[in-house]
Amino acid sequence: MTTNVIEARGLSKRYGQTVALDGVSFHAAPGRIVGLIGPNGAGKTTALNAILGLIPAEGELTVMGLDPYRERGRLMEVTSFIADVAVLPRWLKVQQAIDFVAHVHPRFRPERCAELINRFGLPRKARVASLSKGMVTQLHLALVMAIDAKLLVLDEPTLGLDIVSRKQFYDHLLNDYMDDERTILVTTHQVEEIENILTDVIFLERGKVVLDLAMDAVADRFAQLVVGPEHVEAARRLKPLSERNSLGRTVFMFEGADPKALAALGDVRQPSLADLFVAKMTTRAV
Amino acid sequence: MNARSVWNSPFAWLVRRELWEHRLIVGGPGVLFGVIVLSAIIGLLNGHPISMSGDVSGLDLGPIEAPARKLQILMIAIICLVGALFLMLASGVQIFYAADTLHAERSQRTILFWKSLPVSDLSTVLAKVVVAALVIPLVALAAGLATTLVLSLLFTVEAYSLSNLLAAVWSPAVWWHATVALLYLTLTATVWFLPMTTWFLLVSAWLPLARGRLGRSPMLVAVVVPALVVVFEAVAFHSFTAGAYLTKRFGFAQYLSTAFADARVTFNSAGDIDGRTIGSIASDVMSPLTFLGSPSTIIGVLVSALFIAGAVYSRRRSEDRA
Repeated sequence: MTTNVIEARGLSKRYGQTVALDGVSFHAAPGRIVGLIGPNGAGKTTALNAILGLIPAEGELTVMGLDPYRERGRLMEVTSFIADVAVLPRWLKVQQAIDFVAHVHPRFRPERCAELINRFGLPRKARVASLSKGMVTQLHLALVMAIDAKLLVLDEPTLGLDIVSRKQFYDHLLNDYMDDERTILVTTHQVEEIENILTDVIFLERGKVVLDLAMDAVADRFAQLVVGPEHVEAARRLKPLSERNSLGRTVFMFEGADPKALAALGDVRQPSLADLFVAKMTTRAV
Repeated sequence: MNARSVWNSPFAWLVRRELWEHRLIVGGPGVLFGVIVLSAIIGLLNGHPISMSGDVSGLDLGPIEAPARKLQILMIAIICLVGALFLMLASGVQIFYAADTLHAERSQRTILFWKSLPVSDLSTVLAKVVVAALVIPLVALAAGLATTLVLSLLFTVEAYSLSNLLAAVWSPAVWWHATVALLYLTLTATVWFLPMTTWFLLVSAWLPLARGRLGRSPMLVAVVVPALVVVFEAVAFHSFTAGAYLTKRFGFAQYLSTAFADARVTFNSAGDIDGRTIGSIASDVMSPLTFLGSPSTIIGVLVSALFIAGAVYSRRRSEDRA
């Protein structure tokens, strides 16, 4: 039996009158890459902060078998996180970063980090301030990838990066870091970018989970139907999640619909995560 | 734990990190050292010798034939005065550092990087307390001693023939007692003014970000808050208890009278001090037991502990105040 890396039940968090998390439940198993996706203010960062023990929250929450808020020191030995690449201090030199982490983190492997730094071609004497955003990301990644942690939490890790750096970031994670025992939890706005690497997806909206699904199951459960004007009414009778117009045709999103019934009306496609996201969000907004 | 493992402990690296970030801690005293030494060298080259005669702390040296012990005491006074100058600089650096450090890591968001490592808020804050209260003055003290040492070397080159004077300048006992006196001054001042240092750290940790100009300046808030208390008391109760207490407690006079006994050095008619060693004079002047037993010291340490606890608590909740 595998124990979940993250187990949240009825997780709630309020800031004054604002409800940031409203009884959220989800889990993450070892070897999975879980995407936490939602619009601004949906509660993504609050959820991550609770998972990382940065804030106390109501409800049940265990991460790596620990109470994140109370056992934060121990949790940080087995969990890494990149909050945003901009958090590396600008005055820090590359070599200082390696030396510092090497001496405060018991599970950090300096030789592994040095190898990555060399591979990325980062100048060791340079300060963070003098590096490009892409290079700062590589430095942060090299530090994190050299830590023998079982859980990696990424909060908008590629914000503000150019497309090449973003792609490299995820390539490194997949090829040089991820294995069956590790778990990655990632939040991002750029859904398209992580769609191919996710194994699970959780949609959050206004502090609630609106979808929690393995990516394999997306195709079984959701379908996108594109129909001409003559079939619009027929499609509507099948109770779509959402509809929108595109180039004179109408695009419907269905959940749990009979594939044969849909195929009779028009083109059936597997929806992208972005389509699904928009469909789910607009459904609820109505 | 041996010295090597202490040197490489996570806590030692937390302290190192502060020195990397706040280059003023080493740079400030370094610049003062450079300016003094450079001006002495230029003065020397321009024919203005470094003078050891003159009136220092009421000790009139007079001619260079003055008795050896008197010269030694004068030399101690010089080392201590230069040291005190550097410690004054250190107290400025201390306040700047303490007011800035826990606020800057939040405003620059770097706190999220530091918090991604298995380092507790308690260790982080204690490292900052150690840097503010001990490392900053000790670095300044070392720079002060180095300055006097270089000045003494320059003086030796200039006055190589005055063996009487040089014997005092290079007396190991002189350097030993001056260093002990300066260390005593540094450590007692650190403890005495600890409530002030930790108060600045507390405000730095607690002050919410981005609330206008005050939100950006923990230094200003740390000064304004006690000032408001004094004004409030004056207006509401027509009294000045808080103000009087603060100015007395953090004025220099009470510190000096607590840490140092009122032992004057008096010379006999021959210009010597009868039968007394420099060491005995120094130990007469320092009063560590009075200092440690003083209620002001004890209360100050307790208040500092509260301020530190408040700073740790604030840092712990830094992400929970959105």
